[in-house]
Amino acid sequence: MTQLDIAFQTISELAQIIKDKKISPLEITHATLDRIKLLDKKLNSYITVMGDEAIKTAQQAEKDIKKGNYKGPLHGVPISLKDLYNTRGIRTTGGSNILADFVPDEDCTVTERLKTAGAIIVGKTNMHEFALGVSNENPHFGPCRNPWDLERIPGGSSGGSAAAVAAGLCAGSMGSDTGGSIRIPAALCGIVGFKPTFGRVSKAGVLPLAWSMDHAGPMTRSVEDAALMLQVIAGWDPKDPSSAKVPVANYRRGLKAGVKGLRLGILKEGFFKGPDSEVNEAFNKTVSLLKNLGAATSKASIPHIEYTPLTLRTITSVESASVHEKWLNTRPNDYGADVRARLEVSRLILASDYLRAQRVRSLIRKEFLEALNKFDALLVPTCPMTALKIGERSVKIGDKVVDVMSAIGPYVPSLNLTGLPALTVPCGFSKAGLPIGLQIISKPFDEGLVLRVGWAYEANTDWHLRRPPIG
Amino acid sequence: MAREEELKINPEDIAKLAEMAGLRVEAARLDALTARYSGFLNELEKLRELDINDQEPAFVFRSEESLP
Repeated sequence: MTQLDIAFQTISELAQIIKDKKISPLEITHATLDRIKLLDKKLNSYITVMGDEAIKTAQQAEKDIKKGNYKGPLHGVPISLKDLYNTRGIRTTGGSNILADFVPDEDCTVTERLKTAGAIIVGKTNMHEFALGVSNENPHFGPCRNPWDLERIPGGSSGGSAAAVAAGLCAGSMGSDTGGSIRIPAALCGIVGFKPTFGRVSKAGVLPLAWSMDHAGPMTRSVEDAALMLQVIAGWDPKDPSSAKVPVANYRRGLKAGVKGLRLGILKEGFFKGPDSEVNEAFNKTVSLLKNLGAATSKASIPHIEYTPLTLRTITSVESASVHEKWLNTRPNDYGADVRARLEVSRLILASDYLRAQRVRSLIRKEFLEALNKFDALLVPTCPMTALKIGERSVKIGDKVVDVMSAIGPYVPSLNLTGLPALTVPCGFSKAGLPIGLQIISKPFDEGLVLRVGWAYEANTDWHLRRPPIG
Repeated sequence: MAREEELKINPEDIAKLAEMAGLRVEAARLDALTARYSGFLNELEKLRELDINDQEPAFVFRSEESLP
Protein backbone atom coordinates (compact mmCIF):
# COMPACT_ATOMS: atom_id res chain seq x y z
CA MET A 1 0.00 0.00 0.00
CA THR A 2 1.47 3.39 -1.00
CA GLN A 3 1.58 6.49 1.18
CA LEU A 4 -1.23 7.95 -0.94
CA ASP A 5 -3.39 4.83 -0.51
CA ILE A 6 -2.93 4.98 3.25
CA ALA A 7 -3.63 8.71 3.33
CA PHE A 8 -7.14 8.40 1.95
CA GLN A 9 -8.30 5.27 3.72
CA THR A 10 -11.28 5.96 5.93
CA ILE A 11 -11.11 5.14 9.63
CA SER A 12 -13.33 2.10 9.10
CA GLU A 13 -11.07 0.85 6.28
CA LEU A 14 -7.93 1.41 8.35
CA ALA A 15 -9.55 -0.32 11.32
CA GLN A 16 -10.21 -3.41 9.25
CA ILE A 17 -6.66 -3.75 7.90
CA ILE A 18 -5.14 -2.96 11.29
CA LYS A 19 -7.34 -5.56 12.95
CA ASP A 20 -6.44 -8.10 10.25
CA LYS A 21 -2.74 -7.22 10.80
CA LYS A 22 -2.33 -6.36 7.10
CA ILE A 23 -0.71 -3.09 8.10
CA SER A 24 0.79 -1.88 11.35
CA PRO A 25 -0.07 1.33 13.23
CA LEU A 26 3.58 2.29 12.91
CA GLU A 27 3.50 2.11 9.08
CA ILE A 28 0.34 4.23 9.05
CA THR A 29 1.80 6.77 11.45
CA HIS A 30 5.03 7.09 9.46
CA ALA A 31 3.05 7.50 6.23
CA THR A 32 0.90 10.21 7.85
CA LEU A 33 3.85 12.10 9.30
CA ASP A 34 5.68 11.91 5.96
CA ARG A 35 2.64 13.30 4.19
CA ILE A 36 2.34 16.15 6.69
CA LYS A 37 6.01 16.95 6.09
CA LEU A 38 5.46 16.89 2.33
CA LEU A 39 2.27 18.93 2.08
CA ASP A 40 1.75 21.03 5.17
CA LYS A 41 4.17 23.73 4.08
CA LYS A 42 1.54 24.57 1.47
CA LEU A 43 -1.55 23.97 3.58
CA ASN A 44 -0.46 25.15 7.05
CA SER A 45 -3.10 22.95 8.63
CA TYR A 46 -1.06 22.07 11.74
CA ILE A 47 0.24 24.34 14.49
CA THR A 48 2.07 21.52 16.26
CA VAL A 49 2.99 18.14 14.79
CA MET A 50 3.46 15.52 17.50
CA GLY A 51 5.90 13.29 15.59
CA ASP A 52 7.83 11.69 18.47
CA GLU A 53 4.76 11.16 20.63
CA ALA A 54 2.82 9.70 17.70
CA ILE A 55 5.58 7.20 16.85
CA LYS A 56 5.90 6.15 20.49
CA THR A 57 2.13 5.58 20.75
CA ALA A 58 2.09 3.73 17.45
CA GLN A 59 4.87 1.40 18.65
CA GLN A 60 2.83 0.64 21.74
CA ALA A 61 -0.31 0.08 19.65
CA GLU A 62 1.60 -2.33 17.44
CA LYS A 63 2.78 -4.32 20.47
CA ASP A 64 -0.74 -4.39 21.97
CA ILE A 65 -2.35 -5.57 18.75
CA LYS A 66 0.30 -8.25 18.24
CA LYS A 67 -0.48 -9.50 21.74
CA GLY A 68 -4.17 -9.67 20.85
CA ASN A 69 -5.20 -6.57 22.79
CA TYR A 70 -7.06 -4.85 19.96
CA LYS A 71 -9.04 -1.95 21.41
CA GLY A 72 -11.46 -1.17 18.60
CA PRO A 73 -11.84 0.88 15.40
CA LEU A 74 -9.67 3.83 16.47
CA HIS A 75 -6.75 1.67 17.62
CA GLY A 76 -3.68 2.69 15.64
CA VAL A 77 -5.56 5.33 13.61
CA PRO A 78 -4.00 8.82 13.13
CA ILE A 79 -6.23 11.54 14.56
CA SER A 80 -5.60 15.28 14.96
CA LEU A 81 -7.08 17.76 17.43
CA LYS A 82 -7.99 21.39 16.91
CA ASP A 83 -5.47 23.33 18.96
CA LEU A 84 -7.95 24.12 21.72
CA TYR A 85 -8.21 20.58 23.11
CA ASN A 86 -5.86 20.29 26.07
CA THR A 87 -3.08 17.77 25.57
CA ARG A 88 -0.87 16.83 28.49
CA GLY A 89 2.72 17.98 27.89
CA ILE A 90 1.92 19.40 24.43
CA ARG A 91 1.28 23.11 23.96
CA THR A 92 -2.30 24.13 23.33
CA THR A 93 -2.38 27.58 21.81
CA GLY A 94 -6.01 28.23 20.89
CA GLY A 95 -4.46 29.69 17.74
CA SER A 96 -3.36 32.65 19.84
CA ASN A 97 -0.25 34.47 20.87
CA ILE A 98 -1.57 34.69 24.42
CA LEU A 99 -1.42 30.89 24.86
CA ALA A 100 1.56 30.35 22.55
CA ASP A 101 3.54 28.70 25.36
CA PHE A 102 0.71 27.11 27.33
CA VAL A 103 1.46 23.46 28.07
CA PRO A 104 -1.42 21.75 29.91
CA ASP A 105 -0.75 19.36 32.80
CA GLU A 106 -3.71 17.18 31.83
CA ASP A 107 -5.48 15.86 28.78
CA CYS A 108 -9.02 17.07 28.24
CA THR A 109 -11.73 14.40 28.44
CA VAL A 110 -11.95 14.00 24.65
CA THR A 111 -8.19 13.56 24.29
CA GLU A 112 -8.24 11.05 27.15
CA ARG A 113 -11.10 9.06 25.57
CA LEU A 114 -9.43 9.01 22.15
CA LYS A 115 -6.14 7.83 23.69
CA THR A 116 -7.94 5.15 25.69
CA ALA A 117 -9.50 3.93 22.44
CA GLY A 118 -5.99 3.60 20.99
CA ALA A 119 -6.02 6.59 18.62
CA ILE A 120 -2.64 8.00 17.60
CA ILE A 121 -2.71 11.77 18.14
CA VAL A 122 -0.52 13.16 15.33
CA GLY A 123 -0.87 16.87 16.00
CA LYS A 124 -2.76 20.02 16.87
CA THR A 125 -4.46 21.80 14.00
CA ASN A 126 -4.55 25.43 12.94
CA MET A 127 -7.64 27.45 13.76
CA HIS A 128 -9.04 30.96 13.72
CA GLU A 129 -7.56 32.82 16.69
CA PHE A 130 -9.51 31.71 19.80
CA ALA A 131 -12.14 30.21 17.44
CA LEU A 132 -13.55 33.70 16.92
CA GLY A 133 -14.06 33.76 13.15
CA VAL A 134 -14.66 31.68 10.05
CA SER A 135 -11.76 32.43 7.69
CA ASN A 136 -8.88 30.78 9.56
CA GLU A 137 -6.62 33.66 8.55
CA ASN A 138 -4.58 33.36 11.70
CA PRO A 139 -2.34 36.39 12.39
CA HIS A 140 0.02 34.42 14.65
CA PHE A 141 0.45 31.07 12.87
CA GLY A 142 -0.40 32.10 9.31
CA PRO A 143 -3.47 31.35 7.22
CA CYS A 144 -4.56 27.79 6.72
CA ARG A 145 -5.36 27.07 3.06
CA ASN A 146 -8.10 25.09 1.37
CA PRO A 147 -6.69 21.92 -0.25
CA TRP A 148 -9.11 22.33 -3.19
CA ASP A 149 -7.67 25.76 -4.01
CA LEU A 150 -4.72 27.09 -2.05
CA GLU A 151 -5.78 30.68 -2.70
CA ARG A 152 -8.98 30.12 -0.76
CA ILE A 153 -9.93 29.84 2.90
CA PRO A 154 -10.75 26.42 4.35
CA GLY A 155 -13.48 28.04 6.49
CA GLY A 156 -13.30 28.09 10.24
CA SER A 157 -12.80 28.19 12.94
CA SER A 158 -11.79 24.50 12.71
CA GLY A 159 -10.14 25.14 9.32
CA GLY A 160 -6.92 23.28 10.05
CA SER A 161 -8.85 20.15 11.02
CA ALA A 162 -10.95 20.29 7.85
CA ALA A 163 -7.96 20.92 5.57
CA ALA A 164 -5.92 18.14 7.21
CA VAL A 165 -8.72 15.58 6.88
CA ALA A 166 -9.52 16.60 3.28
CA ALA A 167 -5.86 16.39 2.23
CA GLY A 168 -5.24 13.04 3.93
CA LEU A 169 -2.97 14.43 6.66
CA CYS A 170 -4.91 12.45 9.29
CA ALA A 171 -7.85 10.06 9.20
CA GLY A 172 -10.09 12.17 11.39
CA SER A 173 -9.96 15.26 13.54
CA MET A 174 -11.74 16.89 16.44
CA GLY A 175 -13.24 20.32 15.78
CA SER A 176 -15.34 22.64 17.88
CA ASP A 177 -18.48 24.49 16.83
CA THR A 178 -19.88 27.65 18.47
CA GLY A 179 -21.59 29.13 15.42
CA GLY A 180 -20.78 26.66 12.64
CA SER A 181 -17.06 26.13 13.22
CA ILE A 182 -17.15 22.39 12.47
CA ARG A 183 -19.79 22.47 9.74
CA ILE A 184 -18.59 25.47 7.74
CA PRO A 185 -14.99 24.26 7.19
CA ALA A 186 -16.17 20.68 6.66
CA ALA A 187 -18.52 21.88 3.90
CA LEU A 188 -15.93 24.16 2.29
CA CYS A 189 -13.29 21.41 2.31
CA GLY A 190 -15.59 18.59 1.12
CA ILE A 191 -15.63 16.41 4.24
CA VAL A 192 -18.09 15.23 6.88
CA GLY A 193 -18.48 17.39 10.01
CA PHE A 194 -20.72 16.55 12.93
CA LYS A 195 -21.92 18.88 15.67
CA PRO A 196 -23.71 16.56 18.10
CA THR A 197 -26.42 17.68 20.55
CA PHE A 198 -25.35 20.19 23.21
CA GLY A 199 -24.15 18.12 26.15
CA ARG A 200 -23.47 14.94 24.17
CA VAL A 201 -19.67 15.35 24.07
CA SER A 202 -17.66 16.66 27.01
CA LYS A 203 -15.97 20.04 26.74
CA ALA A 204 -13.96 19.66 29.93
CA GLY A 205 -10.46 20.85 29.12
CA VAL A 206 -11.49 22.45 25.83
CA LEU A 207 -10.77 26.18 25.59
CA PRO A 208 -14.20 27.90 25.70
CA LEU A 209 -15.47 30.58 23.36
CA ALA A 210 -19.11 30.85 24.52
CA TRP A 211 -20.22 28.41 27.19
CA SER A 212 -23.82 28.03 26.10
CA MET A 213 -22.99 27.61 22.40
CA ASP A 214 -19.79 25.55 22.33
CA HIS A 215 -19.94 22.00 20.99
CA ALA A 216 -17.19 19.43 20.37
CA GLY A 217 -17.46 17.03 17.45
CA PRO A 218 -15.69 14.90 14.84
CA MET A 219 -14.56 15.78 11.29
CA THR A 220 -13.99 12.82 8.97
CA ARG A 221 -13.97 11.58 5.37
CA SER A 222 -17.10 9.44 5.76
CA VAL A 223 -20.31 9.37 7.77
CA GLU A 224 -19.43 5.98 9.22
CA ASP A 225 -16.16 7.45 10.49
CA ALA A 226 -18.07 10.25 12.21
CA ALA A 227 -20.17 7.58 13.92
CA LEU A 228 -17.04 5.69 15.00
CA MET A 229 -15.42 8.77 16.50
CA LEU A 230 -18.62 9.91 18.18
CA GLN A 231 -19.01 6.48 19.76
CA VAL A 232 -15.70 6.94 21.54
CA ILE A 233 -16.08 10.55 22.69
CA ALA A 234 -19.82 10.69 23.54
CA GLY A 235 -21.24 10.33 27.01
CA TRP A 236 -21.64 12.05 30.33
CA ASP A 237 -18.61 13.59 31.99
CA PRO A 238 -18.78 14.77 35.60
CA LYS A 239 -16.00 17.27 34.82
CA ASP A 240 -18.26 19.18 32.39
CA PRO A 241 -21.31 20.85 33.99
CA SER A 242 -23.04 21.10 30.61
CA SER A 243 -22.58 17.39 29.91
CA ALA A 244 -25.84 15.43 29.59
CA LYS A 245 -26.66 12.18 31.39
CA VAL A 246 -28.32 10.65 28.35
CA PRO A 247 -27.57 7.08 27.25
CA VAL A 248 -25.29 6.75 24.22
CA ALA A 249 -26.70 4.63 21.39
CA ASN A 250 -24.70 2.27 19.21
CA TYR A 251 -24.27 4.62 16.27
CA ARG A 252 -23.09 1.98 13.84
CA ARG A 253 -26.09 -0.28 14.42
CA GLY A 254 -28.80 1.77 12.72
CA LEU A 255 -26.49 3.53 10.30
CA LYS A 256 -27.45 1.64 7.16
CA ALA A 257 -31.23 1.51 7.73
CA GLY A 258 -31.92 3.88 4.81
CA VAL A 259 -34.34 6.77 4.52
CA LYS A 260 -37.41 4.95 3.23
CA GLY A 261 -40.46 6.30 5.02
CA LEU A 262 -38.59 9.12 6.79
CA ARG A 263 -40.20 12.56 6.72
CA LEU A 264 -37.65 15.17 5.67
CA GLY A 265 -38.42 18.87 6.01
CA ILE A 266 -36.81 21.26 3.55
CA LEU A 267 -35.94 24.61 5.12
CA LYS A 268 -36.60 27.26 2.53
CA GLU A 269 -37.74 30.43 4.24
CA GLY A 270 -37.53 33.78 2.48
CA PHE A 271 -34.33 34.21 4.48
CA PHE A 272 -32.72 31.53 2.34
CA LYS A 273 -32.60 33.53 -0.85
CA GLY A 274 -28.85 33.86 -0.59
CA PRO A 275 -27.51 30.56 -2.00
CA ASP A 276 -25.61 30.96 -5.22
CA SER A 277 -27.12 29.07 -8.11
CA GLU A 278 -24.63 26.19 -7.96
CA VAL A 279 -25.34 25.58 -4.27
CA ASN A 280 -29.05 25.79 -4.94
CA GLU A 281 -28.82 23.31 -7.80
CA ALA A 282 -26.74 20.86 -5.76
CA PHE A 283 -29.19 21.13 -2.86
CA ASN A 284 -32.24 20.56 -5.08
CA LYS A 285 -30.59 17.48 -6.62
CA THR A 286 -29.83 16.20 -3.13
CA VAL A 287 -33.45 16.53 -2.08
CA SER A 288 -34.58 14.71 -5.26
CA LEU A 289 -32.16 11.87 -4.59
CA LEU A 290 -33.37 11.40 -1.01
CA LYS A 291 -36.93 11.43 -2.32
CA ASN A 292 -36.01 8.73 -4.85
CA LEU A 293 -34.56 6.70 -1.99
CA GLY A 294 -38.00 6.65 -0.38
CA ALA A 295 -38.06 9.67 1.94
CA ALA A 296 -41.12 11.92 2.02
CA THR A 297 -40.02 15.51 1.52
CA SER A 298 -41.94 18.73 2.03
CA LYS A 299 -41.32 22.32 3.00
CA ALA A 300 -40.61 23.04 6.66
CA SER A 301 -40.98 26.38 8.36
CA ILE A 302 -39.11 28.10 11.18
CA PRO A 303 -40.83 31.51 11.20
CA HIS A 304 -38.13 33.40 13.12
CA ILE A 305 -35.10 31.75 11.56
CA GLU A 306 -33.89 34.98 10.02
CA TYR A 307 -33.10 36.22 13.54
CA THR A 308 -30.73 33.37 14.31
CA PRO A 309 -27.38 34.87 13.16
CA LEU A 310 -27.93 38.10 15.11
CA THR A 311 -29.20 36.22 18.17
CA LEU A 312 -26.18 33.93 18.12
CA ARG A 313 -23.81 36.82 17.59
CA THR A 314 -25.22 38.75 20.56
CA ILE A 315 -25.02 35.82 22.96
CA THR A 316 -21.64 34.59 21.73
CA SER A 317 -20.19 38.10 21.86
CA VAL A 318 -21.16 38.64 25.48
CA GLU A 319 -20.05 35.18 26.62
CA SER A 320 -16.73 35.47 24.78
CA ALA A 321 -16.16 38.92 26.28
CA SER A 322 -16.52 37.30 29.68
CA VAL A 323 -14.19 34.43 28.78
CA HIS A 324 -11.59 36.95 27.60
CA GLU A 325 -12.13 39.64 30.22
CA LYS A 326 -8.84 39.16 32.03
CA TRP A 327 -6.62 38.92 28.94
CA LEU A 328 -8.36 41.82 27.22
CA ASN A 329 -7.56 43.93 30.28
CA THR A 330 -3.99 42.78 30.72
CA ARG A 331 -2.72 41.76 27.26
CA PRO A 332 -4.83 43.57 24.63
CA ASN A 333 -1.90 43.97 22.26
CA ASP A 334 -1.35 40.21 22.12
CA TYR A 335 -4.62 39.72 20.23
CA GLY A 336 -4.84 39.95 16.46
CA ALA A 337 -6.48 43.22 15.39
CA ASP A 338 -9.76 41.67 14.25
CA VAL A 339 -10.34 39.46 17.28
CA ARG A 340 -9.41 42.28 19.65
CA ALA A 341 -11.90 44.62 17.97
CA ARG A 342 -14.64 41.97 18.15
CA LEU A 343 -14.02 41.41 21.85
CA GLU A 344 -13.98 45.14 22.60
CA VAL A 345 -17.35 45.64 20.92
CA SER A 346 -18.61 42.61 22.84
CA ARG A 347 -17.68 44.24 26.16
CA LEU A 348 -20.00 47.14 25.41
CA ILE A 349 -23.19 45.15 24.73
CA LEU A 350 -25.98 45.80 27.22
CA ALA A 351 -27.14 43.06 29.57
CA SER A 352 -30.73 43.70 28.46
CA ASP A 353 -29.74 42.96 24.84
CA TYR A 354 -28.05 39.73 25.93
CA LEU A 355 -31.19 38.65 27.77
CA ARG A 356 -33.37 39.67 24.86
CA ALA A 357 -31.27 37.41 22.64
CA GLN A 358 -31.66 34.58 25.16
CA ARG A 359 -35.43 35.02 24.98
CA VAL A 360 -35.39 34.99 21.17
CA ARG A 361 -33.32 31.84 21.48
CA SER A 362 -36.16 30.19 23.44
CA LEU A 363 -38.59 31.15 20.70
CA ILE A 364 -36.38 29.74 17.94
CA ARG A 365 -35.82 26.51 19.84
CA LYS A 366 -39.57 26.04 20.29
CA GLU A 367 -40.09 26.53 16.57
CA PHE A 368 -37.43 23.95 15.72
CA LEU A 369 -38.89 21.41 18.14
CA GLU A 370 -42.35 21.99 16.68
CA ALA A 371 -40.99 21.42 13.17
CA LEU A 372 -39.27 18.25 14.37
CA ASN A 373 -42.61 16.95 15.65
CA LYS A 374 -43.72 16.91 12.02
CA PHE A 375 -40.43 15.78 10.48
CA ASP A 376 -37.78 13.21 11.33
CA ALA A 377 -35.04 15.48 10.03
CA LEU A 378 -34.59 18.89 8.43
CA LEU A 379 -32.37 19.68 5.45
CA VAL A 380 -30.68 22.92 4.42
CA PRO A 381 -27.45 23.78 2.54
CA THR A 382 -24.58 24.07 5.02
CA CYS A 383 -23.22 27.26 3.43
CA PRO A 384 -24.85 29.43 0.77
CA MET A 385 -21.60 29.66 -1.19
CA THR A 386 -18.30 27.90 -1.81
CA ALA A 387 -14.95 28.88 -0.25
CA LEU A 388 -13.99 32.55 -0.54
CA LYS A 389 -10.54 33.82 -1.45
CA ILE A 390 -8.05 34.48 1.35
CA GLY A 391 -8.19 38.19 2.13
CA GLU A 392 -11.79 38.75 1.04
CA ARG A 393 -13.44 40.83 3.74
CA SER A 394 -16.96 41.22 2.40
CA VAL A 395 -19.33 39.66 -0.10
CA LYS A 396 -22.11 41.15 -2.20
CA ILE A 397 -25.38 39.24 -1.79
CA GLY A 398 -28.16 40.77 -3.89
CA ASP A 399 -27.88 44.51 -3.28
CA LYS A 400 -26.26 44.13 0.15
CA VAL A 401 -22.58 43.98 1.06
CA VAL A 402 -22.09 41.70 4.07
CA ASP A 403 -19.07 40.61 6.08
CA VAL A 404 -17.55 37.17 5.47
CA MET A 405 -18.94 35.62 8.64
CA SER A 406 -22.52 36.66 7.85
CA ALA A 407 -22.14 35.62 4.22
CA ILE A 408 -20.82 32.10 4.84
CA GLY A 409 -22.68 31.20 7.98
CA PRO A 410 -26.40 32.09 7.91
CA TYR A 411 -27.66 28.48 7.97
CA VAL A 412 -25.56 27.09 10.78
CA PRO A 413 -26.02 29.18 13.97
CA SER A 414 -29.61 28.07 14.63
CA LEU A 415 -28.22 24.67 15.63
CA ASN A 416 -25.91 26.21 18.22
CA LEU A 417 -28.79 28.27 19.58
CA THR A 418 -31.05 25.23 19.79
CA GLY A 419 -28.38 22.66 20.65
CA LEU A 420 -29.76 20.26 18.02
CA PRO A 421 -27.50 17.71 16.31
CA ALA A 422 -26.40 18.73 12.80
CA LEU A 423 -24.26 16.90 10.27
CA THR A 424 -22.74 18.21 7.06
CA VAL A 425 -21.92 15.85 4.19
CA PRO A 426 -20.48 16.68 0.76
CA CYS A 427 -23.32 17.08 -1.77
CA GLY A 428 -21.67 18.48 -4.88
CA PHE A 429 -18.95 20.61 -6.42
CA SER A 430 -19.04 23.96 -8.18
CA LYS A 431 -17.77 24.32 -11.74
CA ALA A 432 -14.58 25.72 -10.23
CA GLY A 433 -14.09 22.43 -8.36
CA LEU A 434 -15.05 23.68 -4.91
CA PRO A 435 -17.07 21.52 -2.49
CA ILE A 436 -20.68 22.12 -1.43
CA GLY A 437 -22.25 20.73 1.76
CA LEU A 438 -25.67 19.47 2.83
CA GLN A 439 -26.75 19.96 6.44
CA ILE A 440 -28.97 17.39 8.18
CA ILE A 441 -30.66 18.28 11.49
CA SER A 442 -32.70 16.22 13.91
CA LYS A 443 -34.11 16.04 17.44
CA PRO A 444 -32.04 16.42 20.62
CA PHE A 445 -29.81 13.40 21.22
CA ASP A 446 -31.00 11.64 18.07
CA GLU A 447 -27.53 11.61 16.52
CA GLY A 448 -28.30 8.14 15.13
CA LEU A 449 -31.04 9.49 12.86
CA VAL A 450 -28.83 12.28 11.53
CA LEU A 451 -26.05 9.80 10.75
CA ARG A 452 -28.56 7.44 9.13
CA VAL A 453 -29.78 10.09 6.68
CA GLY A 454 -26.20 11.18 5.99
CA TRP A 455 -25.05 7.63 5.35
CA ALA A 456 -27.96 6.91 2.99
CA TYR A 457 -27.11 9.98 0.93
CA GLU A 458 -23.37 9.29 0.94
CA ALA A 459 -23.87 5.63 -0.07
CA ASN A 460 -25.68 6.77 -3.21
CA THR A 461 -23.23 9.48 -4.29
CA ASP A 462 -19.49 9.72 -4.80
CA TRP A 463 -18.73 13.30 -3.78
CA HIS A 464 -16.93 12.07 -0.65
CA LEU A 465 -14.57 9.98 -2.80
CA ARG A 466 -13.13 12.96 -4.71
CA ARG A 467 -9.62 13.95 -3.79
CA PRO A 468 -8.24 17.51 -3.70
CA PRO A 469 -5.60 18.37 -6.30
CA ILE A 470 -2.95 19.11 -3.69
CA GLY A 471 -1.28 15.71 -4.16
CA MET B 1 -40.22 50.58 20.19
CA ALA B 2 -37.77 50.49 17.29
CA ARG B 3 -35.86 53.59 16.30
CA GLU B 4 -36.84 55.08 12.97
CA GLU B 5 -33.45 56.54 12.20
CA GLU B 6 -29.99 55.02 12.40
CA LEU B 7 -28.36 55.57 15.74
CA LYS B 8 -25.34 57.85 15.55
CA ILE B 9 -22.70 57.56 18.26
CA ASN B 10 -19.75 59.87 18.83
CA PRO B 11 -16.28 58.49 19.43
CA GLU B 12 -16.20 60.56 22.62
CA ASP B 13 -19.23 58.64 23.94
CA ILE B 14 -17.55 55.36 23.11
CA ALA B 15 -14.39 56.50 24.87
CA LYS B 16 -16.42 57.13 28.04
CA LEU B 17 -18.31 53.87 27.72
CA ALA B 18 -15.09 51.93 27.14
CA GLU B 19 -13.53 53.54 30.17
CA MET B 20 -16.53 52.56 32.30
CA ALA B 21 -16.23 49.01 30.96
CA GLY B 22 -12.55 48.95 31.92
CA LEU B 23 -11.26 48.93 28.34
CA ARG B 24 -8.12 50.72 27.24
CA VAL B 25 -8.74 51.97 23.71
CA GLU B 26 -6.01 54.03 22.06
CA ALA B 27 -7.21 57.24 20.37
CA ALA B 28 -6.10 55.94 16.99
CA ARG B 29 -8.48 52.98 17.28
CA LEU B 30 -11.49 54.86 18.59
CA ASP B 31 -13.13 55.66 15.25
CA ALA B 32 -12.97 52.04 14.10
CA LEU B 33 -14.43 50.80 17.40
CA THR B 34 -17.19 53.42 17.22
CA ALA B 35 -18.13 52.40 13.68
CA ARG B 36 -18.18 48.72 14.59
CA TYR B 37 -20.20 49.25 17.77
CA SER B 38 -22.69 51.57 16.06
CA GLY B 39 -23.19 49.01 13.31
CA PHE B 40 -23.91 46.31 15.83
CA LEU B 41 -26.30 48.45 17.88
CA ASN B 42 -28.24 49.29 14.73
CA GLU B 43 -28.47 45.61 13.89
CA LEU B 44 -29.73 44.88 17.39
CA GLU B 45 -32.78 46.99 16.60
CA LYS B 46 -34.12 43.96 14.72
CA LEU B 47 -34.24 41.95 17.95
CA ARG B 48 -35.86 44.86 19.80
CA GLU B 49 -38.74 44.81 17.32
CA LEU B 50 -39.70 41.24 18.22
CA ASP B 51 -42.58 40.49 20.54
CA ILE B 52 -41.02 38.13 23.08
CA ASN B 53 -43.14 38.92 26.12
CA ASP B 54 -44.10 35.28 26.64
CA GLN B 55 -40.54 33.99 26.25
CA GLU B 56 -38.19 33.27 29.12
CA PRO B 57 -34.46 33.40 28.50
CA ALA B 58 -32.86 30.13 27.47
CA PHE B 59 -29.91 29.25 29.63
CA VAL B 60 -29.70 25.54 30.13
CA PHE B 61 -31.80 22.95 28.39
CA ARG B 62 -32.95 20.03 30.48
CA SER B 63 -31.32 16.94 29.04
CA GLU B 64 -34.52 14.90 29.27
CA GLU B 65 -36.44 17.49 27.22
CA SER B 66 -37.75 16.20 23.89
CA LEU B 67 -35.80 13.00 23.83
CA PRO B 68 -36.26 10.97 20.66
